[in-house]
Amino acid sequence: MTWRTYIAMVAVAAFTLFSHGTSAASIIPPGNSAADQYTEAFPGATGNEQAGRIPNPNRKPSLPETTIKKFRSHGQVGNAALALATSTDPNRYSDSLEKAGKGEAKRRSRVTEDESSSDSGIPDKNLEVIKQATGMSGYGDMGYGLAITLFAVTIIAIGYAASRNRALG
Amino acid sequence: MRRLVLLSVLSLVVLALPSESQARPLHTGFVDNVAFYDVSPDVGNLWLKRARHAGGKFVRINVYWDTIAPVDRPANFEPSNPADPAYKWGLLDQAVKSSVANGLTPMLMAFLAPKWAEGPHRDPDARLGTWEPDPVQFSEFGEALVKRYSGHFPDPAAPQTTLPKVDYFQAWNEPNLFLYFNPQAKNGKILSPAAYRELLNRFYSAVKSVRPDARVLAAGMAPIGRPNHAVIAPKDFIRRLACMRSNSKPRRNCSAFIRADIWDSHPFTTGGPTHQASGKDDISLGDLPELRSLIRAADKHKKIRGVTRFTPIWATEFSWDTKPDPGGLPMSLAKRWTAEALYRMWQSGISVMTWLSILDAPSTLGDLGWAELAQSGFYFYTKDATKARPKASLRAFRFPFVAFKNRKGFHFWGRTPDSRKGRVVIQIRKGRRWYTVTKERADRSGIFVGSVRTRHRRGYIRALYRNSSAVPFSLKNVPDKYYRPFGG
Repeated sequence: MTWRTYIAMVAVAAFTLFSHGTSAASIIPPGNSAADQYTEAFPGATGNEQAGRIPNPNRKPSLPETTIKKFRSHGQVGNAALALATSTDPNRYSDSLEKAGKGEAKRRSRVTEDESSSDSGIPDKNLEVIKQATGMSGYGDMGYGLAITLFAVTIIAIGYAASRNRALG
Repeated sequence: MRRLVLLSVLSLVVLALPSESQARPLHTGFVDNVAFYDVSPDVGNLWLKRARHAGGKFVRINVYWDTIAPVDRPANFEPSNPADPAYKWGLLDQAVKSSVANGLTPMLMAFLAPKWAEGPHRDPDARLGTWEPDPVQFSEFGEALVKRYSGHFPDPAAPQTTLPKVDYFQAWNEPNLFLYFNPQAKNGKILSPAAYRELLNRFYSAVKSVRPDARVLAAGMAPIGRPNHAVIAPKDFIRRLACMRSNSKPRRNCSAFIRADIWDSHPFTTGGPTHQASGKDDISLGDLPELRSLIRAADKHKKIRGVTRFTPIWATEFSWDTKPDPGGLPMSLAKRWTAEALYRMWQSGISVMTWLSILDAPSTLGDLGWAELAQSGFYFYTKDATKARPKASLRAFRFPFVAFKNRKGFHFWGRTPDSRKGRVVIQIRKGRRWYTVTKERADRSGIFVGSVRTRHRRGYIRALYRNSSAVPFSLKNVPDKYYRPFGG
């Protein structure tokens, strides 16, 4: 493999990633519960200070208190990491994926007649955490830049390691 | 002398002009189709009576266009004729009649299109009734709606009588949210504000052509924007809808405007009554002052054209889930935040708010759990409506009262349970006893405001009005805390 091949690979990968992200596919997100649409994904990121420090005071956290404190001592970055670390806590999010509006969900007959639900397996908030972390969020100023850069660096590193192994071998 | 007369006349004119600073009311009410209307008339009446007793004046009735209109459009269908036999008005007639009979003012919120009024190439994931609703068909339905509830239309169920008159009509629900309005965007281009503008303006014209005195509400905004345009953040949506370049300036070379008499927002909050959403264009309860500035700017530049100079702002959906929802507010907090939410809304210029549900949903319903079901009622769920147990927060909704300490003592705000004028006694608790510190007169809409100079700036304050006592409000500051509005 030559450097030219690596660059071509990176370009193809970047193009694939970019074109997938901007496709004209459905904008209706799969797997969202209706109630989630009325809840902030990152409470307190720039809002009131107290909000978001404790995801739910009535539930036992899935991480030890000392670990949580360590995360929090790193400010916003720590809080984002904490959100990611606890995002798979089975107690935290409901798996129910009904798409009726709040309150309307009580109209069981209507819900079953009119609405279909689909399951991506990842609740919306978790996906958004990952998107924010990789710069793929529609709200992030970095856009796709960070994701493409990370992807490119990984490909180059793997390619470099492979060529070095071959040279040493 | 002539100058003096002119000056006096001008002063009188200025004084006579409607001003926002005049005493503002805060009317409350409920939205809960399930408790009020999807039950037997006896049970529905019982809940409507309870809503009235809870201080409710308004009730928002969800009008499902797709269930009233025929499934297939008949060839000779006259959509603007409320007497067309293809329409099925029975349940709505009953809902309006029972609401009015129980002393409540109904507001009809029409949404969800029948299949034949939806656009082509629908996204299979889109909820039925939400795909490109046809503005012309919707306006014709609006015309039928306002004609039927004009106060002159014969009641088919009771000969010799007419159906009640309804004064408030709302065009759609949360058009910035994919659960109710689609498409929000296509190929990265945001479409929903322009599509909704067409829908709203045509609906407005249709309603006013029949009843110029009727009031049209723009749809309530969902509070939180989502990435990739799945939900357009409400302030962004309003700017696009009303052709505003910023929160204070109109866009140049944009002549579009919207026609509405009342603005509506659903300021659900992921926190307490002062919580501001993290998104700059989101509108939670703590963001209402910014919403008000934006609406006032749109008013100023004639981007919202209605019957009044200042477009009134309503909040037709708001609530928090409480216990027994494990993610809901504990009752001690629910009592405080319910009263404070009403205060913050009043402070932000909201004149009418309707609380989302009077009766809790059960804990589970099929696959649905706590997070999907609203436990935001003021009564715990029960199968037997006559045995429903009220929550302690009901008292705070019925007789909201708050008090906050300041440098010289504390200031307070409240609204009498019957929204009428009268004398209110303010008391402070010292030890186990209550001491009267002042008496205040509530204005004609029941609002009372005042301040007390005292060195004793701790403990609880309460208000007494006739035979009622407000929930005692602690002067101790309670910080904002994270709670999902629907718990879970």
